[in-house]
Amino acid sequence: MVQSQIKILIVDDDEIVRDSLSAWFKEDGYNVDSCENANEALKKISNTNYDIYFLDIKMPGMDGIELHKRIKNIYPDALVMIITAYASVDTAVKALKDGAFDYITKPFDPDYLSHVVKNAVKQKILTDENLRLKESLQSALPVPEIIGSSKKMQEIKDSIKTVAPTNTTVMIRGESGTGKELVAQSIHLQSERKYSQMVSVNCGAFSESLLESELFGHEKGAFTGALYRRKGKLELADGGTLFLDEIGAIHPKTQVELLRVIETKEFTRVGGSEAIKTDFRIICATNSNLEEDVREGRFREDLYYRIRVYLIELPSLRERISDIPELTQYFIDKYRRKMNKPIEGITQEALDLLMRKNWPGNVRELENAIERAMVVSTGRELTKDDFYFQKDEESQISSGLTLADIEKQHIITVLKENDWNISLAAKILGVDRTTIYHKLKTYGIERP
Amino acid sequence: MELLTLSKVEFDYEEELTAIQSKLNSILGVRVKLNKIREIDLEAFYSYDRGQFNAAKIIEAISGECENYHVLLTSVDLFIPIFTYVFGLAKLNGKCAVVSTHRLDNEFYGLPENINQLRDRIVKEVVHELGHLLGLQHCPNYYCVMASSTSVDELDLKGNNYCPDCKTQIVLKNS
Ligand SMILES: [Zn+2]
Ligand SMILES: [Zn+2]
Repeated sequence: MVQSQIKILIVDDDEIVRDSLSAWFKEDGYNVDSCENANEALKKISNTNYDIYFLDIKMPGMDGIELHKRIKNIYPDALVMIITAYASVDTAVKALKDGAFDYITKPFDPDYLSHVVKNAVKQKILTDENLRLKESLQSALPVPEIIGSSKKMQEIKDSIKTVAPTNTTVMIRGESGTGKELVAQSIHLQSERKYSQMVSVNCGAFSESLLESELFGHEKGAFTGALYRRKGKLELADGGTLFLDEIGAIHPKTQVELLRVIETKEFTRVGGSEAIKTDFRIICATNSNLEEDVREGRFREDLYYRIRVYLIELPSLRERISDIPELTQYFIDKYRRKMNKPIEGITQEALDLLMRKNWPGNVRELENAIERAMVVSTGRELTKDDFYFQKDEESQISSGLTLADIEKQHIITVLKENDWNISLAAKILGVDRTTIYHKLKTYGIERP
Repeated sequence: MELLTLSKVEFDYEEELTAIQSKLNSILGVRVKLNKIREIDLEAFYSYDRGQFNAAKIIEAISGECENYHVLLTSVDLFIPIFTYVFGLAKLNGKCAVVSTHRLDNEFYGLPENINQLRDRIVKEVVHELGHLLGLQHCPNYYCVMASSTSVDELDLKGNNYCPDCKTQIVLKNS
């Protein structure tokens, strides 16, 4: 872990500050040392080269400003943070001009402090000649498994491998429930950015102004009720990957702003003026026909070309029926561990049922169906009777209904099974609630 | 064995308690007992200078009556002297922790209320503080519940369970 290789020295005459700060940094895994005055600090420095210093401005004897100068004489690259009370901010600002890294005021804003320390560590890693530090960064997270050996899925896996190590913007297209976020995660974790996080935003889940605040963050007082500064997802994604789901839902004004960020790698928080630099890779996903949105002027063409550099099209489950047995076994194994139930497999008859079924909610719907079946199942194998939809199956298949009729019936069945609980039905069908409401209206479905 | 007792004082989301409890149950796989703690009077922990309540002192005050692990839920704003706020506080390897909903609520940031999200955040905070009680430090894995989070966005980013490394550590430390 990189933190344990970072040495921090805290110099403050206030015991509470020393103890609390030490405890806080230790909790994060840093190597921390502290002392109460400048003389002691100078003694420690002669034996140890610390990476980050926290110096109180006001101390009996030599003050923090003088100590800062002495440290800089010995270690010009030392990262020094000045601790100050509000009253002496001016002095702290002067220290910045003398090369201090930053200053923090008492009591500390924990969010700001953690930000400052992360920046200092980043700086340290960048300037450090010793590559071991870079290599010892947290071990990579396991890459999520993408299940399926069909030709289509093999191609998808190859595309992911090709594009992941590049910094290219990726667009993932697929119906809901086909695993777009999983693919994004897989790309992220096979890229150099894997040491930072992937931050996901579902653009369809927010109104225009909320999406702005979600992406860009806002300053205190940016609008009524904004009592506190809030970081946006662009800021959180710094160094990592930004996953924008349902990109087609972004409003025109936000599209302009997003385009600007992609081009300049800079943005300001809502209600703020400070330009914030950020470095992230964009992966977008959509389940709609974005080209049509472009033709009809709902989506900016320039933004479209910016994000559609490398396209990955995910097949629906209907297009890869041959993967259903493998997927089914995978989910059975997953939920066996989770539920601690001795279910090992599925009967051929039940599997046939799953392979015949139309899956509008794709893999997610399949997963939900298996999870539900495993809850009700009492045997060692899942059988046809464990699946709630098996009763309706024959009537549907035999009566030559249209796809729309089947969808309608299926929605009604799921709603009935779940006491007309829309949220639950949406979860099972692998779509969001809005989609269900929309379908209810389209098909004129009413609760009896 | 009951691993965790939840209690509450000046907590604004009573109706969410059962949901929080069952979520914790499924994450931790233990029985979470819901305890109405002998109503403690928070007045003594209020700082008139700060307009907030001292989390360290609250933990100190309840630690006398903690038999098993104990997390106190509250909706008042918490601080410790060197920090402007804390979401929660636990002593490493201690018995008691406190979690505040004050800054977990979207309305605090001027955003519309979102009770599902709030519930998730509370659960993550409880699991996180319990991790400290079980001897865990912060985890460098961004998606682990033991990742340090000083903003709600970071809290939303991480998962609600311990990563495999942290789980192994819990077993090692508590066996
Ligand atoms: Zn913590
Ligand atoms: Zn962890």
